[in-house]
Amino acid sequence: MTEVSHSGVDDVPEGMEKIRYDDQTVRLFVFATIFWGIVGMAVGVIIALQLVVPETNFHKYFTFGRLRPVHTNAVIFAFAGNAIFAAVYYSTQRLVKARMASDLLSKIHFWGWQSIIVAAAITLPLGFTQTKEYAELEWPIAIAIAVIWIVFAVNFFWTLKNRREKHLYVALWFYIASIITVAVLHVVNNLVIPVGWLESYSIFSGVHDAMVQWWYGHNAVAFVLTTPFLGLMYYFLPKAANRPIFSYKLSIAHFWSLTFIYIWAGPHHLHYTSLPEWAATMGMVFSVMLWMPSWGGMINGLFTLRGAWDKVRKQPELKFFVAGITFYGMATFEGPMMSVKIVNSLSHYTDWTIAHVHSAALGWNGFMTFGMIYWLLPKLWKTKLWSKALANAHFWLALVGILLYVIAMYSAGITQGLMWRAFDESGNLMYDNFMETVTAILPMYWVRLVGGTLYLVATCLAVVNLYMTIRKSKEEGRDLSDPVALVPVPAWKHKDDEEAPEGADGTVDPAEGGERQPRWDDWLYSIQEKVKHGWHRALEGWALMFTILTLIAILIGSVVGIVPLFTMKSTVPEIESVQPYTPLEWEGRDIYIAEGCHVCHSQMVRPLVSEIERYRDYSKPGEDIYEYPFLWGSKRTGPDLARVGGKYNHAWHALHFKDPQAIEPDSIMPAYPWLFEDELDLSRTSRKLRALQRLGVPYSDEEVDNAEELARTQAEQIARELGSQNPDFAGLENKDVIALIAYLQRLGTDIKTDEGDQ
Amino acid sequence: MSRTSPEDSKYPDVIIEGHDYDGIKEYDNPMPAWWLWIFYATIAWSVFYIAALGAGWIADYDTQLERGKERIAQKQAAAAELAPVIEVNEETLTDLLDDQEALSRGADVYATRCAQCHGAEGQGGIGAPFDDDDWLFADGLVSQFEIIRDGLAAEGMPAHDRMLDDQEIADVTAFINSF
Ligand code: HEC
Ligand code: HEC
Repeated sequence: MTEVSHSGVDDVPEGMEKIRYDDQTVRLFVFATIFWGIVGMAVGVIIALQLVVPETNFHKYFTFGRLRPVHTNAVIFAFAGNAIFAAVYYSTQRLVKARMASDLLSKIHFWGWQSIIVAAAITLPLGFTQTKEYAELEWPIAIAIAVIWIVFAVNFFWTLKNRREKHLYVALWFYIASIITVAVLHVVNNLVIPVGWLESYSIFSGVHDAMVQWWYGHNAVAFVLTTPFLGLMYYFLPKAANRPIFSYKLSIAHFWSLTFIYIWAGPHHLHYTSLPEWAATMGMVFSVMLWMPSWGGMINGLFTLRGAWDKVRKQPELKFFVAGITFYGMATFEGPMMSVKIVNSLSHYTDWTIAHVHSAALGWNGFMTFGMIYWLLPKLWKTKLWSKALANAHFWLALVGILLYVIAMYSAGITQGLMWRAFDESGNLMYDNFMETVTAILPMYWVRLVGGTLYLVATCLAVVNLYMTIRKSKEEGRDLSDPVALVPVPAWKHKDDEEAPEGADGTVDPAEGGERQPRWDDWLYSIQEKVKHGWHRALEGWALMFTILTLIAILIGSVVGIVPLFTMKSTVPEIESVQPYTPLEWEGRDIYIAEGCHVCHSQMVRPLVSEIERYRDYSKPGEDIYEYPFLWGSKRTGPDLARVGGKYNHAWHALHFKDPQAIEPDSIMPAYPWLFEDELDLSRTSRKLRALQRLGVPYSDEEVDNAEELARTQAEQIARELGSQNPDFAGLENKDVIALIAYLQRLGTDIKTDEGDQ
Repeated sequence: MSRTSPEDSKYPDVIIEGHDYDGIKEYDNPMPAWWLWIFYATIAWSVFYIAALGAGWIADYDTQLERGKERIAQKQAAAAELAPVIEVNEETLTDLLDDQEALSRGADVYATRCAQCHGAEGQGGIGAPFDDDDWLFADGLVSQFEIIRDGLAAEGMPAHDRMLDDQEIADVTAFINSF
């Protein structure tokens, strides 16, 4: 079943069929992977720089808060996303012995996906964001994603239907799980109510919104960055090493346990928050149980290489695979560990999370992708890789880059986490000025910048190799038309065909060709026949049932994890003093979101002594009922803001926005001078309040109708106060900064308790 | 059937007939026993954890917080007992005005806690200036001391009672009068 070039096959032998694989689409996805990889990593380097040299937040649309989501989206959905598609398109065709079902759908998929990425790269810096991590893209783009994903799914499942190989290989199981789960996650977490073309509010608020987001967020990690890459590994690793998969039984056990368990783990992102403790506990225990299912993939990968270790030295792609799988093993041990509450109380909000993510993303996703690409280049361009030495250089440089990055971030995260909670012997916070805990880790931020830059440079070496390999292919005049393969006509597909009676495994057995009378118990025998290689083998031959069972596996955890939270009243005990934001404050909140303040600031004080000592009372679920969407944040690059209202006067905030370093000389917060120039836009305030009213926020019709006037009045009052505190800031009533200050001064003020007494 | 793996393998490495996907074959090896056992152990631990949390053997959020608060309260109480009791009145504060040690301690406190709002040279900014003799809110040294300790919430002057002890507040009170 070797693939031959187009011209090589003219006559097809009896019992064989000719298929042409579509490799052009794969080539396109490879280009896109590399291109967006460079873009995403470059933005990563830029934002790493912004954290040490705040002056590099040089333009309104290029501040840290706006660029960080560009970075995460680019590397997850553009770099890893395109890599996944390249892997799926290349391997699926060969594993099922069929061309991708529709060239048109393949084209729509490719170009549609790239357009979505471009739309993301434009809208995110402009401040159009739903704020939820990895689901930031506004609703029209989210709908486009759903459509393109369905196109992909149709193309994929249709190809499965056309398959000539009866049984689905384990790589395909992982692809199936990824495709259906991402569809479910994406739809549920993007349920919003639009208030403009690029503006919307989540239909969930506070605790519920947080739960849905992290059910999504965690499983985006699972079903975008883990399962498709396991599928990739299961195809490309044994191909590259030319070794059988270590254990089929392990494949089955770890596939189903992983798929079933992963979906429950989301709430481990919400330990010690307002999420009820029982829900967080479920997240924790399922994360711990996820350890071995994850390691099943690592074992099957590494053990497949037994007896082939000499090849690792010779083939650069195998080096990438081995290191990638090792990073996967480390990250999937660390993840469960960080899910344990006691560890999480230290790691959460710190750079430890960033370290964890990058050992997985740069190590596992990056290296598996580059391993695949180095293996694919010669196949796709029908020539040898231009330079193995350069590929090896890429590997070592990138490895050093990752190590610098993660070591720096581990030490930054742990250092800062410990400083936040340190008490001196007289029972006071040792570092009660937040900036002390920032300056302590700035040297580590520099090291991270170096590590990230090395990784980016290393990726550029891949570009050189790609370019030169293609040039070489052209010079050698290689024929890049679709490769053709000869495969046996699948007997199992022609059930009614007398001449091709079916054996259980799809092969034609000449001994069973004779005629016989049907008997009443034939159906029993047929079942026995079907499962004679085990029930799972039968399932592998039944793609539809396999898909349905996978769907059920992921729905169980989703439903059991989420539904009770929504139905139980005790989740969110009411707090009477909590009132909706005023129209002006709401506009301020939207500015906060557009500027990406939530990227650096959390709004969730945890019930830990060190936190209530630093930020006063811990946050209650009832405080968040009008938070559409929730803004708890996941990283504290700056201090928590849940209770910042009234902590400073307006003039402090104004000066702080104009020039943070004037207040804290070492502050790494960007300056926001445009807040003092941009006119406060109140034209949509009414519409926004109407949408919120529909979601259940108790605004009166009068408030909704007069939203603009109400906002103006409050703005004038705050501007007056500000002007009297500091005449330099007089006359700002029509500027954005007033709305933002109004919002900040409101935060946490609805509850008048101190030091955690209820 | 072929054995292609190293001789010392613990696993039988028998290739499964009929499993051939684009040339990829699969061994019929069992799952590693340690893998299976650790998996079972994590399940058992999870069941145990939930039960123990429910039964109160493992502290829940509230209990943890209460214990933490107690620990800190004890520390604070102990420290309060040991802390030098300083008497704060017009006289003791006036004495500090030309106590060089107190002034230099006060300067340190000022640089880290106050300069951001009152200016490095006491020239004012977000907060009132100290380089003139006008006081907007304070009336005498004790009143300054109290403002620094308790803050002026309505004006945006933060309380410092949780960050500074009385001695430090007295020092910085002296210092702001030296501009
Ligand atoms: C790059 C991360 C970053 C971004 C983005 C950021 N901040 Fe900050 N912020 C900080 C840091 C660090 C501090 C602490 C030092 C300081 O006060 O400047 C801080 C401090 C603050 C404080 C003072 C909190 C306190 O309790 O002392 C406020 C208020 C604040 N930021 C508001 C905002 C707002 C509003 C935005 C969006 C317009 C924003 N920040 C964006 C990093 C950031
Ligand atoms: C967040 C900014 C901020 C910080 C930090 C701060 N202050 Fe103030 N302080 C103010 C403001 C605002 C006022 C009110 C005066 C005004 O409105 O001009 C004030 C008022 C005062 C007054 C009363 C002044 C008068 O004219 O009656 C004193 C005394 C004072 N501060 C001392 C201190 C000392 C000492 C520190 C350091 C331990 C400190 N402040 C830290 C903002 C601050």
